[in-house]
Amino acid sequence: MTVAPFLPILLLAGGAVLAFTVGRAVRRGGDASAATAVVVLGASFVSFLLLGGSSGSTPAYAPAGEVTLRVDGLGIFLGLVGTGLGLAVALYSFAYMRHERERPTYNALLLLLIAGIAGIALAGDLFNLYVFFELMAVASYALVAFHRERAEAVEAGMKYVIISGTGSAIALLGIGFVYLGAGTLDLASLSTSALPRDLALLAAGLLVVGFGVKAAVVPMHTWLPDAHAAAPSGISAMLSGIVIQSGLLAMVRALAIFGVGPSSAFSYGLLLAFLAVLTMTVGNLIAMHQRDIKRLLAYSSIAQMGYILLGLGIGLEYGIAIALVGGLFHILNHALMKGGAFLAAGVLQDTYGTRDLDKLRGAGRRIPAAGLTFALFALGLAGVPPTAGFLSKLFIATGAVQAGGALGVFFVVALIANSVLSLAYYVPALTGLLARNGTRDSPRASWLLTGPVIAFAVLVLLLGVWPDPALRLIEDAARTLLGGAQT
Amino acid sequence: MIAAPPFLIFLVGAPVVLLARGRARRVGLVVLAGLALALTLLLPEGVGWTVRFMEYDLVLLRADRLSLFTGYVFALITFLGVLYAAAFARPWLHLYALLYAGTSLGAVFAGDVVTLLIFWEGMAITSTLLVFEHGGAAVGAGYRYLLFHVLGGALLAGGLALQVVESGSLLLGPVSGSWPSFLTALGAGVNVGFIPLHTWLPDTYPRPHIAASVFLSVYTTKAGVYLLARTSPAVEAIALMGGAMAVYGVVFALAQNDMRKLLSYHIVSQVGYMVAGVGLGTVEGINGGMAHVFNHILYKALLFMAVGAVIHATGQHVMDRLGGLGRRMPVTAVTFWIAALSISGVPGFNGYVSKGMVIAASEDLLPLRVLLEIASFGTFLSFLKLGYFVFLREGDTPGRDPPWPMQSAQVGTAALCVAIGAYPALLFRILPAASAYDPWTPTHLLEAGLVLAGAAATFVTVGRVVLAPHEPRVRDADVAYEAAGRALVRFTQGLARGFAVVYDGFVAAVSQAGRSARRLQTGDLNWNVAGVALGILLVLLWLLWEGAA
Repeated sequence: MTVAPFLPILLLAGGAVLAFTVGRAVRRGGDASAATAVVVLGASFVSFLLLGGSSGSTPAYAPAGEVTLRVDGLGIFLGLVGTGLGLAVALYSFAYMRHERERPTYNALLLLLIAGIAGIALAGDLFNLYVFFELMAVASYALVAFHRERAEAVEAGMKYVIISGTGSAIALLGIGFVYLGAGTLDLASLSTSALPRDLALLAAGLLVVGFGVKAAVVPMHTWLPDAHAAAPSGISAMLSGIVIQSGLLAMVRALAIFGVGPSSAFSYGLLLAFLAVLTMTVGNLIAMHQRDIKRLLAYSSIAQMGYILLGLGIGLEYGIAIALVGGLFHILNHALMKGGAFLAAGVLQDTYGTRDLDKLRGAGRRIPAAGLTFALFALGLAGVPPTAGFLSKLFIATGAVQAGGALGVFFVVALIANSVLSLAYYVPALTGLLARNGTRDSPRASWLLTGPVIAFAVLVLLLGVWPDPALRLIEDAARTLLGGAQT
Repeated sequence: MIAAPPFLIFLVGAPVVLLARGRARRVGLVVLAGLALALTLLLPEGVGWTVRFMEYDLVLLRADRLSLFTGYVFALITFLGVLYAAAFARPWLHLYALLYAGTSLGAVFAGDVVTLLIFWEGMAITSTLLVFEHGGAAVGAGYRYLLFHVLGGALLAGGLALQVVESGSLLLGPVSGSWPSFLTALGAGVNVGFIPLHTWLPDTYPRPHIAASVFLSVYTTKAGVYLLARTSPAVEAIALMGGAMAVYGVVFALAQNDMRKLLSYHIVSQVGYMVAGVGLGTVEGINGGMAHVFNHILYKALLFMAVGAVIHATGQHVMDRLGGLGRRMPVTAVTFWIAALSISGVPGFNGYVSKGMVIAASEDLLPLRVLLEIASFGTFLSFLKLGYFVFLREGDTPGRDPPWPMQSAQVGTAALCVAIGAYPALLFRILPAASAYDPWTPTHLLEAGLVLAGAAATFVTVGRVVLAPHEPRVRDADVAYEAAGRALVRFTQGLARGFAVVYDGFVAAVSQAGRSARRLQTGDLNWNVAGVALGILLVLLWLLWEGAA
């Protein structure tokens, strides 16, 4: 059945309104709004599946002749990951946020956040891309500062607003230059027309930096540690899991207009790859001395974004498909692993009231559902087989090898060295969490909290040994990016 | 006529027999060894049992005159040794001994290099297990033994591998070329006891169970001699090494107090004769060396049996605490003297025949001849010492003859020594090549007589005082090995410390890098935005530089 491309966005935006009103109107409004959110997210996940089924052609939504939305493999991929992760977070937040007062607001904002992600996925031109990007950003500002009675959250939110706002402005400037040079903002026609070279370079630079702020590329990453640590755990999972990746994919979509692979106008792919190496190294180095579990995970996210960016950069520069597949696969895996890790950390924080690793010594052993899954996620993030994290890193490394030459070797060495370096903070965190401690209490955690975490852990292992279903989807997405320029 | 490889009988039969218990097991052991002996004696000449492996043919049974000759005596002594060991209820000892015998027979009948090496290593492992079985001090000695034999195995494998590469064939045969010959000789030399690679022999053989020593004295060294004969590196140096071994062994034997250690040094010495014969490379030399293999196996096993009986009866290993056992252990004493006279080369006993063959073959190489004669002199002297101080002199050590299985084994072996000594034709018929040697010529008799008389005279006059048993003050080449071992351990400790310093330094540097990187997070919003501006600058610079290029 053919589904209109705007359906997911409509569902999510409408759902946000619905969740808020239901929550305020009904007794036990908090639960009601949470339940609404779950249902809406389930429906939108299904709608993306249906859209994916019908994307043999690339249906477009073009009211009044101007294409605003377009469905392609990359969009389906982002939409599915976004709604899937969102669904798990909504379930998780059902229990996690149960003592909060403003749950209807929370759930509405969550739905708006994902509506923005869906819009980025389906955007057909730069204008809509920017609008939905901003929608996602604004919703996330509010969600980061949700616990506004805490100074930490407010500070994190303020920093996030200002830095992200700067980035958005820069990105908008870049988009403006593109319009100046090409006269159109439609992504499809932009990829075939050529801009004057100087203008193209300037626009590309601004786009990289503007979207790069949201994607936490070094040196624009400074907002991330505070924001991801101070946000409610479900939102941390969303932020690390799909929000920053959406920023990255928005960047990649925007840059693709300058050509992909050997036919690209200039080597922005190589620029991305070098920024990637910088990002992963800085992220891993700073992560080494963190004592706050969520801050540690936040810096780890910066490093993991580096891996993803490396894969995408090499793929776009040389037209190597497997690098792109690796990068996109790592987006999926990272959503599962980092999302799961934040949710597990949230369980520990919820039970013991602290994020300090020294105070949480042995906590993982006492709540095995959180501790053991955290261990699996950490090993997956470090790239240990047979987790899915190993596979996606392997693909990226293979892509780098195929790139060849001294640069290829450099990228592979950087990837491997950083993976090893990341063990330097994962392993001590794990041994601390899983240490034998004197106390015998085994607190119970609600299944709504542990269920999503365990489900993610299972998926991480499953994808590690049987990635085929996911890879089919991802290869589709990679093909969209490469257009005709595959090697 | 079934061509069943003898090793198969042992390898398959040993675990089966050991499933039985008590008397049934002991009977089963003897029956198994007897069966193996019968089958070996009935083996037809020729090649049987080839197995395809990759693109090569492995020959698991090659029965020619040389391997049959060695196989006969191995199977024979296995029977007698099993009979001796059946007196003891030690199932693991029996198992390892049978496996040891099996792998040795496998090595002797191997037709190709791969099979040989597999059985060679099998011999090393099973004999080590046989040593370990005893526990206590034997474990350390067994470890040193294993080190030597693994080294020997590696050298042998290297030499034979080079040979295969050069000749293109896996068949085991004469080795040519300087490196293959050198490595093969050295590899076999560890087994045989080339000086100074011999220290494992007197270190290990005295320590395990007395029945184990009987088996140990047989296979490893003689398989080495067989291999030298088979690969015939015919180098004069090897023959001279044989002579050196003969004298070296005897000199150290004379100084010993521990009975089995004395016998072990005599192994080195007697194997020296064999090596001398085989190393000469002539038909008479090889014949003589192999004949000596046959005879030595018989009388050396008998010596270990007799000495073992003494240890079993008295609990003493050393001569200075023994005496007067001749009257209390008559059967043991008689069999001992038969063996002693055999090893000393007294006419009428088997040793005289083969020793004479080797000495005759060394006619053209005078230095070798002299060394061998000196060794003969020392051998008789040494056994007069052993026999006198244990059996003949006055003493009140209590003891009596061992259980009947052990006695019958001793008597049987002694009978063979006498039989071959009186009718050497028995031996000549199965020698690898036809022999024209006549042991009864006046020259040979005179030679032997002079040497023996000289030794006897020396003993009777000054020997009894000078050679009175006491703890020896001489140290063998072990000293060098121990020092090398200690140096190696110190070196590796230093190396480990060095690595630790490097790694710790590296880790500290990385950790410091992490700490420094943290300073990027100033917490100041102004600096954060400045970071964005820096980002713009870097990116635009890159793109402009790249665009200009």
